[in-house]
Amino acid sequence: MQTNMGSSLDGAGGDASSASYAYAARYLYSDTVVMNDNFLRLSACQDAFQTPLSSSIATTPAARLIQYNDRLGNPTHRLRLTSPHTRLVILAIGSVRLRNAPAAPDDIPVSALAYDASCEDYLTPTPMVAPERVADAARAIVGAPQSLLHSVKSVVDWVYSNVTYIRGSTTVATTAEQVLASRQGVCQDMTHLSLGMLRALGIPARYCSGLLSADIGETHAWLEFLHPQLGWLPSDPTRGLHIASNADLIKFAVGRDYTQASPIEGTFVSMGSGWLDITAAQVIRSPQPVSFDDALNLIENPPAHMLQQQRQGIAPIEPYEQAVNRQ
Amino acid sequence: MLLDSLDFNPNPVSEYLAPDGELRPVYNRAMAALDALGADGVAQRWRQANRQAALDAFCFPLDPKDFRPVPTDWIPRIVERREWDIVSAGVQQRLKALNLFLLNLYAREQSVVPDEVVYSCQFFYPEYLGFRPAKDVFVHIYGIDLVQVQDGRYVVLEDNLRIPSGIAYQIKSVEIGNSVMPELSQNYDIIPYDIRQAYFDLFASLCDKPAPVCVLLTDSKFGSAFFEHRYLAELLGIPLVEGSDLYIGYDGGAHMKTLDGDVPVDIIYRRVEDLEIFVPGLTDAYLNGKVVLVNGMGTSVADDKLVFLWVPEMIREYLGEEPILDQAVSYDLADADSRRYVLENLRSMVLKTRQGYGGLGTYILTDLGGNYHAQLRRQVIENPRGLIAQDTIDFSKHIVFDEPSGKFAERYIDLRVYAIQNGRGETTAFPGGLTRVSRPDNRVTNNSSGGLCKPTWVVR
Repeated sequence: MQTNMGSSLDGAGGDASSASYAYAARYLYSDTVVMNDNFLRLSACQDAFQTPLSSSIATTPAARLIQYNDRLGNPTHRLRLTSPHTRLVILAIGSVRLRNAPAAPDDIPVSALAYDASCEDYLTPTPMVAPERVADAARAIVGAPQSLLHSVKSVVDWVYSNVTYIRGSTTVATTAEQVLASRQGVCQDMTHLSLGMLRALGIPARYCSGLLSADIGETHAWLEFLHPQLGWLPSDPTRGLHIASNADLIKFAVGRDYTQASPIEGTFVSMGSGWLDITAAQVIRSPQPVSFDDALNLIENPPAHMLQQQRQGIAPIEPYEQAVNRQ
Repeated sequence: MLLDSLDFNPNPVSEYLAPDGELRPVYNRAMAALDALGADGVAQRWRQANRQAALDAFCFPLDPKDFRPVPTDWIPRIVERREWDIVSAGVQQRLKALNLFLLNLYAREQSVVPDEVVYSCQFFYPEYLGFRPAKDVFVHIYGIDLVQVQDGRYVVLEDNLRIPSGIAYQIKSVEIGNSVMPELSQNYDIIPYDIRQAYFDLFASLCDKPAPVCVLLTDSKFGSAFFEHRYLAELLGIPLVEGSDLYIGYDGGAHMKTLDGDVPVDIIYRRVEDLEIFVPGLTDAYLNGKVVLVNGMGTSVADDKLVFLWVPEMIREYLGEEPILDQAVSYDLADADSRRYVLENLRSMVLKTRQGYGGLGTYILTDLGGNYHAQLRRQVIENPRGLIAQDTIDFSKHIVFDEPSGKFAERYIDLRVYAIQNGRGETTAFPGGLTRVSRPDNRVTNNSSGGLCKPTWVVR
């Protein structure tokens, strides 16, 4: 996939392509939920390489949604339900135009990078990514000071080769430092560890959440690092791609770490517990419209292998302060 | 003279001493009355007042098993009329502006506070978008926290719009103090107010029925402000109900269960926030206009410490006026320049969590050890949207009497003022307020954080 890199030399980016997406998630609860408050980051965001053409979100039970752009510019929906329910289905559909970034020249030494104050957010510690705790490992991996792209490649290759993808080996609360110690995790964990290492080297890097254009799957996480001339460029440690192709990724949100970019973030009030029963997403590489029925079909009739995978990994969302649960 | 026995250096910002170090004239008669009682006499009155407070269940228990009256220092705070007039005007101005902000917010027409701030508030309720409360009043009862600074100005620290408590404590502390030490109050012309009439007028103005049925909805008798719930229900002669006493009927309206059959309810003076937990279906009844809630739902957006930053703008935008009261200089930590400034001057900052209340989640760095500084610095960097920063304010101290030792001491005080807005859009601030007193060596005055209170008079 890195071969896409050289496809355009005019600096204006590669050929534009269109894609549609559908996303669905179903939460179940063991007892009646009386209040369910969620932030949804499930709409494609606008950036230099991605233009949303349409987007729409629906839920069952139906709710009044409010949409706004959060501080980092992510299209966010606030969903708050106060009618009693024991299940919640969230559907998101939309289409985007995608464009590849031009090839990045690799002649910038990391020591020469200079950024303005707006990049501070992407260099400093966050609850899940503490750069200073993975800094020694990062320096050992990169060795002598290198160019920007070489440093990114060293870190991403190392994470790809040394962290084993094991579903269920970590939780949504696992930190970069813990991943470095356990050497296992999922895309979120590989991204966190890479973010920590890049920040420790002085390279602004941010967490991305969205969809990977492939078969029916789940949401994906990758990162973007800041290139002084080209802006934010995607890099995917889970797939071992230090420069990923923009055309393969539909981006829903960026954040300093998972907590600011997670597709669904919320709390609910119930005497029981809840769990994510199933979630599925699909990207269709054509501008053909998708409907909420298509999205619903993803979880009503999921591929057998997916059902099996997710059923193994189900973890109840534990109570938080008696009747309040986080999901 | 009792004051001659002071064995401390008075705070430069003082409530009872003039800048020249002499007693402020308005305190002369009160101090003379205390002198006449003598130290033993004062101590005896103290015990008497505390006993009266206990008998009246004048308490604010943080732990339901811990029954104790609100610790009170019975030396009154005396506010002069000319000071009060400014405070009163400033408080009413702020109440009006906040109500207009909420009306515009839920009509999706406000542009004063950035969307990303207001829509991410924990207590912003999207289901109320498009909702207009009865007579366009969201905020009926308003509580505002003020402190007095060097030049005598009052500065706003916080707004409380959700379920502000304390009005009964304001009334009761003065009532007990005056009954136990009539020698003090009889020499002053204390401005009276009729809270009962104000509430009746409020209820009547919100409802087109001639005699609306009102109830006070309490969280439970184990809640910390239960004294106030009981006191107000008795004062107003309205039923005091728990969530299980109410239900939503087939007509979509709220009903109260009574021994003589069920009664439709027109107005719920709610002292709970999570409606659905207490009365399932109440949200819909409210949204459909079947019942009036006092205060309205959704008001707590403006309790968010971050939204506080934009209140002066609301006053300019919605009222076309300049703010009468200054507010504490505050910083949005998500702004890189503000954050750098705060981190460089952390020692002189107060950090507050956005959703904290009752003094919880307030960190005054000059009063905290070095270990806290590193932790809070880290927290600012890791989660700049979870906190705000304010300049530490040098505010006033007042004298308190320590009954066991028979000595005087000084403590920081603030002033929680209550105001009311009725269905005709008229506002009133109740003269005085609840003066809250900090613990020793601390600036946090909230009763939830273990402070004392003081009777407060406004005198002519």
